[in-house]
Amino acid sequence: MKPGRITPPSKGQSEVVDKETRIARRETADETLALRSRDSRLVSRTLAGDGEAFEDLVRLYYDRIRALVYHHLHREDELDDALQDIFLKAFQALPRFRKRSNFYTWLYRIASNYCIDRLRKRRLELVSLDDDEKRDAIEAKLPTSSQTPEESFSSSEKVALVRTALGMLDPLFQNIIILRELEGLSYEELAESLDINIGTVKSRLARARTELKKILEDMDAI
Amino acid sequence: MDCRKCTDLLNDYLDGELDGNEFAEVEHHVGRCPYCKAELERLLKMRDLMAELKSVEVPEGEREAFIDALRARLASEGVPDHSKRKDLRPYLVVAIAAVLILIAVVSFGRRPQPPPMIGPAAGLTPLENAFVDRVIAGSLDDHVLATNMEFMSDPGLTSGQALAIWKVVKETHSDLFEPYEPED
Repeated sequence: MKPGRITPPSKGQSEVVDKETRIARRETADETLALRSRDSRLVSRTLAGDGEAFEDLVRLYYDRIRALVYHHLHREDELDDALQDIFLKAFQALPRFRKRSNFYTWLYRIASNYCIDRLRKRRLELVSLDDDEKRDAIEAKLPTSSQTPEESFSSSEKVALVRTALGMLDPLFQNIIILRELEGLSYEELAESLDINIGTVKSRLARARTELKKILEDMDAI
Repeated sequence: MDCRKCTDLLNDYLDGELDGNEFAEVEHHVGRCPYCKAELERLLKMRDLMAELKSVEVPEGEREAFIDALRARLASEGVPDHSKRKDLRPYLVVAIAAVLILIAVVSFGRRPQPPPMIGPAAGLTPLENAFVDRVIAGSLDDHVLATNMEFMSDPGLTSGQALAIWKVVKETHSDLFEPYEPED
């Protein structure tokens, strides 16, 4: 449902939107059930002592969890250790996994908590720096051009700009933005991954987006 | 739809989370309002910038190398074999039953205790202290009474006395108030 044009739709168009939404949601629900069933079987086999089943789960979700962790930490040298810690935690916690949930949202929860914790520890380290060091640390990450990103920044410079802006957010806000904008989780999946209700998802996401927009506006990026 | 309502809904609009009517209302408003249209464009720019981060390529062979390393770590750290995990639920049921029986035996034949009283509070007259004791004795299990301050309706009480008593009750019996959460 991309808003390409901005024209007042008729009543008929609204009904079409509703119907398309219903069909899309039904298809998504079918896919979710199939994935849940597959993952549930792999979890059961892991709990029965089949190590290869857990390796299959890792294989299935490695790329997504790797991306999630990378977006939070932005450090290649920390990535491997972080991923090992997360999958190890998941393996150890597997007996507590409830099969009514989606395995990947449960895994996202473990990864998110891990990343938020790491980011908070980094903040504490940053607090110990003096003001000049903090400013140097932030400026080192920013592109040097004075023009707006659309005008002159290369793709890699835009990436640096957005990463810096994201890094300035509270870790909880950073986390929900990454899960929604980069990992594409729905509101329901966010609620499950973060163990909060839909209302809290909406309010936290709205506040996170407002903060991010303000930072990007201050950087003349949007 | 006014601008405030529209800007509140713009992210849901872009997320595809609005129903047909709200979707139509937002489109209609944005089509006529330059302020909200500019806001929508800023949000779209923000999303375009975010999209620059999306592609994170996994180097070839990294995934399998990771799984090999993880397997080695699981083996070296002696992570418990889930298949040998004991189901403790039957033991838990027996333990709970034993505790309940113990409580029942200990409680059996025990005479009812008088309601707890607090000692005289500094700054209150004996009459006021007696009133506080009466309130507490009569409302220990009654959060509604405590939170509605009904006890203050005693006709013989001045407003200053009522406030002083309220303060003492609240400080000495905070447990009466904290668990009470009005329903939405």
